[in-house]
Amino acid sequence: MRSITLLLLMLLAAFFSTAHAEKRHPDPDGCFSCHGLPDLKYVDKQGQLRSATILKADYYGSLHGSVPCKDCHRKITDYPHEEKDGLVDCSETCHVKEPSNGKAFTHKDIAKEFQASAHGKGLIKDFAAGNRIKEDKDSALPSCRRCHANDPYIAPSQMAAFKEAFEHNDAECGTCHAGDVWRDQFSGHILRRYIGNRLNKPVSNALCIDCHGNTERMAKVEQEDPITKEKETVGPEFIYSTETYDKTLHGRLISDGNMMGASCIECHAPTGLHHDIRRDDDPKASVHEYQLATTCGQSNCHQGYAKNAANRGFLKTPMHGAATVALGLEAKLNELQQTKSNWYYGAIVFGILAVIFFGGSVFWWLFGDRKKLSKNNNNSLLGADQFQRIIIGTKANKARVKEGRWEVTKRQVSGWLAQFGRKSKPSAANEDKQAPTEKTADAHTPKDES
Amino acid sequence: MKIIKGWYQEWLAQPKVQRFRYMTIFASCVLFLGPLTILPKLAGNSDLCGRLCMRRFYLYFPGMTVEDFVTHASAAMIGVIAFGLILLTTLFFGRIWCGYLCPVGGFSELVSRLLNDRWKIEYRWLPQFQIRYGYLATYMIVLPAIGVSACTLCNFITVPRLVESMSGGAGGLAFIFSAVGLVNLSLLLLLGFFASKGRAYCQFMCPIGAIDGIVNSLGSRFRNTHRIRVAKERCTGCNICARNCMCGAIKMVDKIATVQQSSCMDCHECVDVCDWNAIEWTTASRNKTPKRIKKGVDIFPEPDWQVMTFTPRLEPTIQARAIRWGRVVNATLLLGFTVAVAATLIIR
Repeated sequence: MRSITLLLLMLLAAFFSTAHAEKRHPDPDGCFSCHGLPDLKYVDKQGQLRSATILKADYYGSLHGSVPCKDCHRKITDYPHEEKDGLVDCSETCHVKEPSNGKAFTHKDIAKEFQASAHGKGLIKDFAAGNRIKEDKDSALPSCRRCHANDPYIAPSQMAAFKEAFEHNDAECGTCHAGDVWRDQFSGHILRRYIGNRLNKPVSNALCIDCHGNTERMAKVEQEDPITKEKETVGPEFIYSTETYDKTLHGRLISDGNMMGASCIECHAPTGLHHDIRRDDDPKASVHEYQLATTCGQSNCHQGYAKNAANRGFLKTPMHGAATVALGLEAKLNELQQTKSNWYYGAIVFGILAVIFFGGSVFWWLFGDRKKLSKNNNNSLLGADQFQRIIIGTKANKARVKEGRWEVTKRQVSGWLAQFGRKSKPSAANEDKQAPTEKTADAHTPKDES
Repeated sequence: MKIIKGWYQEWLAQPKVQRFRYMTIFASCVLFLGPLTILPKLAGNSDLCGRLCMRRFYLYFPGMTVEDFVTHASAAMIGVIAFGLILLTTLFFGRIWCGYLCPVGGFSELVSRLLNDRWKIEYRWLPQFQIRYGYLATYMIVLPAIGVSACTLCNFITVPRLVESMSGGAGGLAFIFSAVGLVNLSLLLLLGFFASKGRAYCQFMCPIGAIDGIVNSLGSRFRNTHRIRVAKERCTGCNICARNCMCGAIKMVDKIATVQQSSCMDCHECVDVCDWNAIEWTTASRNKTPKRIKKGVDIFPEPDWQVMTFTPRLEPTIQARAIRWGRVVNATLLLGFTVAVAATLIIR
């Protein structure tokens, strides 16, 4: 009897394990019966020969590999179908269910956030294979798929780590989560999360740099003023944003492979679903001056002091200061008018002095008389006298030390002033003669009174 | 040709230790500065910034916590370790890093020594202590608070970039011809190449040097540390050491050379030029009490050579004197810093 129940239990277990073992990559609508053919081609409206073949391995290996085709390409009911029926809207719901709440999965929230952002006019729907080039040309703003191509489920950079983790999958996860089904369905998903964020800092920066690193393209950008709706050209901070970022400690640390630095998104879209990138003069923007304290003071960043009231200046540190970028002369002059970096004035003042010394030194080098240099005294042009007096302690010998240039000018100026006084007031000389006698008289008066 | 021959003759005229020092500086320039940057590349860096930075992690931002400090330090871990090593060697042997190894200060010193003596600015007579620690306080507290990046006036960027640009590196040229780069280049020229002995930036603006100077001056109080020390009974007051001191650390007080340890870089040049062996890089003399005094044995007449050898240490006599404004400024800065730190710790 016992052996029979055991057998039954084993059969039951076997039944359930097979019953749930659906195919991971279903093709319920049979799209691959045509699109899986190796040489499926058609001529589109522009008269161009296009391939309609979809490589199974590529599709199944992609992020959306377990989503049936019709979930996105919804209007297709028949075949052959029109191209316009295949248009994809990224903000629609699909039939994949969120395991936590059982609701249909959707990118709607991200789309909403994205549309409110500075990139908001970029496309979020009407995607088809044929309009890729047109979409890129028409719109200066990125569409969803400009950054999020249907990438492989495991990024190439994560592959090695994934494989290593996958080998331990049976041993470590299998002790509790027995059964092939569970591991088939979830272990890959969980392992991928375990390996780390697929968009790590350098990768997510690369997405931004892909467009913003192109200075020629960025120079042509026109921003719309949120209130007046007028188009404005952008400044050098915008055009050279990636170059200036590379010069800051944030950029440097990341390029050195140290993840302590802040990536683009960590400052520009730190909250929500990380698509809310706004202009810095928008009060809702994370980089607006009112929000900077919270943005810089995120946990694991400058949390201790960015919010401190005494630290206002810290928040004014230029993170995209164009003073660190070398531009052409003309661009530099324009920039001087636009940004008025005080470092230019510093450079002018110090630079002139430096050039004078450089020129003088070269001149002396070529034509200077070396015999005039003293071996025992300081020969420097500036500060030699002070050095002798303060460090060596020589007292000024009036017979030997010539009258200084300052004294000479002082004497001259006072001479001129005296002359000027005499011309305007002829009686000045007489007054001078009278003055001492008056003073002595004044000095005597109080004594007399007492 | 004439100039090169002059350089060669000057090279031969240099004391042996100084020639060694110039060679170590040159070697360190090759190792640290572009285009080779051998040592930074071992740490995965192409210059002295980022993880190698020794100048940033001790910046004080109002309201900063210990955790923030740990974050800053761990972002520049290699720099922190290097800085610790520098301070450790300084404690025992004096500022060996600054005088013998630092590629940045050393580079400007070497260039300055190649140039003529006439077109130079003499900075050594300025009140070094006050300027240096005044700027250190500004650098550590005021600049972060008003939002000027600490990297803006850093010659640890400028010198590697300048060397890189001289070897045709595009990155170096791009930095030099930016606004900040031009200011830095001018500062390097004025405080480095055209400064007498080329160490004005080190003396006035380098935060590593300033902190190193504190350690140097504290360490000189121990008797077993190596420092530049003067045997006052031997000093003739010829002031050749003061004239040759590149830091302006030696000052003639009552015609006897005195070393200001917080400015001294232990470069050994004063030792090389002193004809009287009155100055030496050494531990402090022990000044033992003669046994005859311990035993209470009177010897009369006292031999005069003992008077020369066992000069009693003069106790400083307390005198009423004019207010030293430099010290007042220093004390105010230090007090302000302490109060700021204490206040933020208490408020939190």
